[in-house]
Amino acid sequence: MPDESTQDTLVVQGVSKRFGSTLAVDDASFTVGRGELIGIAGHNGAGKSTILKVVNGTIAGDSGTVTIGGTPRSATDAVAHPEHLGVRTVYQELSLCASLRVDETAAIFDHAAKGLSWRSKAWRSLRAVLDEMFPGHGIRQDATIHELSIARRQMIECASSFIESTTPPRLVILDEPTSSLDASATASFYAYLEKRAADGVSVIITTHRLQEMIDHLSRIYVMRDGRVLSEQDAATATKDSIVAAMGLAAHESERPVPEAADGLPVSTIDAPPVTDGEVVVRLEQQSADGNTADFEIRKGEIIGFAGLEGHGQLLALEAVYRASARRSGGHRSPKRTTHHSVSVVGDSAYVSGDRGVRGIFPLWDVAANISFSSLGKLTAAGLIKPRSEGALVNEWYSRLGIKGSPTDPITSLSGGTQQKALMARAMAVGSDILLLEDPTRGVDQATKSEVYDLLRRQAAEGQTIVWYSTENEELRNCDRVFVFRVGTIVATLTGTEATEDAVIALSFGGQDAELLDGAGPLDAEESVR
Amino acid sequence: MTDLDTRLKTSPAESTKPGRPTLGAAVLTVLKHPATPAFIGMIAIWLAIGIIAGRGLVETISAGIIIATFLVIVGIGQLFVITVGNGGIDLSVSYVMTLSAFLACQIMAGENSNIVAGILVAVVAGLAAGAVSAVLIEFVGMPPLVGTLAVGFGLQTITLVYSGSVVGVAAPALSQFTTAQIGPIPIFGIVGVVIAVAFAIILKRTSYGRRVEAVGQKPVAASFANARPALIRASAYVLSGGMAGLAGVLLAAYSGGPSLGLGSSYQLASIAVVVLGGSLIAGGRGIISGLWAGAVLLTLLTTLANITRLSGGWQFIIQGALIVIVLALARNPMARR
Repeated sequence: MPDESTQDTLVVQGVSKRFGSTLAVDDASFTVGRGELIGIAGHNGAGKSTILKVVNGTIAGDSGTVTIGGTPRSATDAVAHPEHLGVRTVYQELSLCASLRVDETAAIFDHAAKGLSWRSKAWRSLRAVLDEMFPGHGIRQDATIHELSIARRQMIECASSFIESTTPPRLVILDEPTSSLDASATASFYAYLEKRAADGVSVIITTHRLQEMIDHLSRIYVMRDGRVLSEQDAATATKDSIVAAMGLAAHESERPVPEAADGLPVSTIDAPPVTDGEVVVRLEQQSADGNTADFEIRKGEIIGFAGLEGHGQLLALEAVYRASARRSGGHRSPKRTTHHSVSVVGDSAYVSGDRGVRGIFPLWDVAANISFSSLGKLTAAGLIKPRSEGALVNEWYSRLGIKGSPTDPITSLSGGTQQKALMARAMAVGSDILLLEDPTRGVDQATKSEVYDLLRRQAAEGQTIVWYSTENEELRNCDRVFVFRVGTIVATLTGTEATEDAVIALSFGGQDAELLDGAGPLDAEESVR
Repeated sequence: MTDLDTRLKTSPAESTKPGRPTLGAAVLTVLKHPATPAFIGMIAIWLAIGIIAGRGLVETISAGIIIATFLVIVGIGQLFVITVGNGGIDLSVSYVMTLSAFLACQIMAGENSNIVAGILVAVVAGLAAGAVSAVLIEFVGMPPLVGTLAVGFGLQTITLVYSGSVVGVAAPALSQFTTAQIGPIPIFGIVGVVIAVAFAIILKRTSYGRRVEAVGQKPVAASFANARPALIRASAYVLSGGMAGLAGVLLAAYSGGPSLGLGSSYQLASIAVVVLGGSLIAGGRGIISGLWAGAVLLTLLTTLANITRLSGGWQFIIQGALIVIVLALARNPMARR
């Protein structure tokens, strides 16, 4: 380019992307100047990752243009090799191959490393960046990735994206790059970014650590519901101003109750909290600074677990499941997690929104999928009674309004209907406690409302419901909301005091902190097995 | 299987429909059943033997069913291990059979009064071997292939050392039982059918059987639905050991006494019959009726190879080709996972 020094490195204009019924990115536009460090902030599901994937061409958008280094392309075109355009990306989920050595990993990024000594060449390129980015990193050439701590793996990913290679980096996209790094590594990381920025490399960062953005970047775009709603100058931005933009901005758009000034009540339940019921779940919490607190869940309550993804909600929910007794009203020894000791009275049933892995049995029909958790009460003399099984399945077909025949294979159903079948499986048990892990993930709005009504009825019948959700809006169906941050419950909000803004403000809290179960579902999976 | 048929009949969609399902629909259901190719293959080879050798069809099938029964018994255990998934496979069955045969024959020592004790010792030895495999696989974390082979080699060594000092003879009554016939009907073959039906009911009509298939499909989903995958999988290895022990003592009785090579041909054949019968090798779906047909098919195949007096090499080639054909027929969308 003739005048590359004055040109913006990246111009995004009017990009939209729809996944099924969800508009993940809605008419987003922003620019990144040459040698500029910018941030994109937003809550879970705001569309940050999607817009970045459209920018680097991993996924094709539905409309809009992306101009990189003065060369425009339609956002509807996917790009096979973004690194040839000088675009590098580090994703939030660590994506290194566990069985490769460090130098072999470097060779994936360093296209210039060829010939017999490719490993050493690649390692020299990586080490040059590593030594400067993370002095004293202590990473050896011949270490295997899986031997390294998460922090060192993250260092390698960050450093790899700045290797010179055949096409030098021009735009580096970093999705939560510092989530596992400590303070000193983070500081030297940003110092390196600033030095490279002076050479003309542009960087886009997304992170939930808002203070980092304010301290180190020049501008911050705030996204909400797929839209870029605000642009803030880092020099004048404060944590409060960013949080306000993330939470409040969206209220300008179509929301059922226009109440922008005070924020929407997350919980619309005005009834006073249940204080007289028997305690069903007790969470004894010990936070990192040594404070202890007890949280009690009573019979018939609907409790929401809120907070940013990966801050310990899932671990706590699964601990409740593992601590549950095998039969109604029974006891079991308490289960410990890093910060909680969980004791439960009674049995529980679990519904996961991760249908594919943690939900359906794909070889069976719907009937066998629904009756599976209730087989104990359908059995006489050791044999399952087909008549009782059929009656149970029919009862739940009508109660949940499931369409089709019980003999249909479960895999022939739509995602929302599969989710209903899984709700039926858990509810048919008639357990004391119902545990929900993001149960409406990927479910359309109509089915969601049906599910909410159903849960209220179940609670009215005396079932206790504990509900982990990544959608704050959903938590308005709860009697009380526990807000998690860094593995501990930092607040409980009751009834109408639980506004969406309060939840967001509490999730980000006073200090930037490390993600707890970043690998969340995976760790949890192991623990349940 | 049977439970599916029952559920079809009691489902509301069916009962609201006027009239009964047409004959064509019924035929289609049977043709689509995963066990069908094994039955077709079995009948085809049976008829081929009749045509080629000019032998009586009844004698052929009744002899075939007797010999197939040993394979049915070992195969049922193998089927449970494969169906619990997670790469489940039991390579120790052949070694369990041989050791159990020696142990049982030493106890029986040719006396009819010792039959119960002999069978009991054989089954208990098998259960114990299965329990060791289960511990190695589920609690030490070895891959099933390696864990069961390690147990098998251990048992083989024990058998070699121990069998040198033993001259065991099966009880004559048990030997007669394995070959007795009422008219053309082999009693032992009937026993094999009864065992197969019993285990089909366990797999499809008890909550234990449902858990076996559920764990084989999605262990994580099963653990979130109140099943304990590790325990269910462990139970399958114990069951497989017990079945191999039972097959070992019966086979020793049939052949007059134990020998060091007694079980060796059952190691891979037990796996083959599971797959031939339409069960999924990846787990999650077990078909015992198909396994029975697969066992008879394999047995008749050996008979066919013998009567055509082909060289050993050709026998294996024909066996392999026939297995490929049956499996190609058995391919259906549900099997592609």
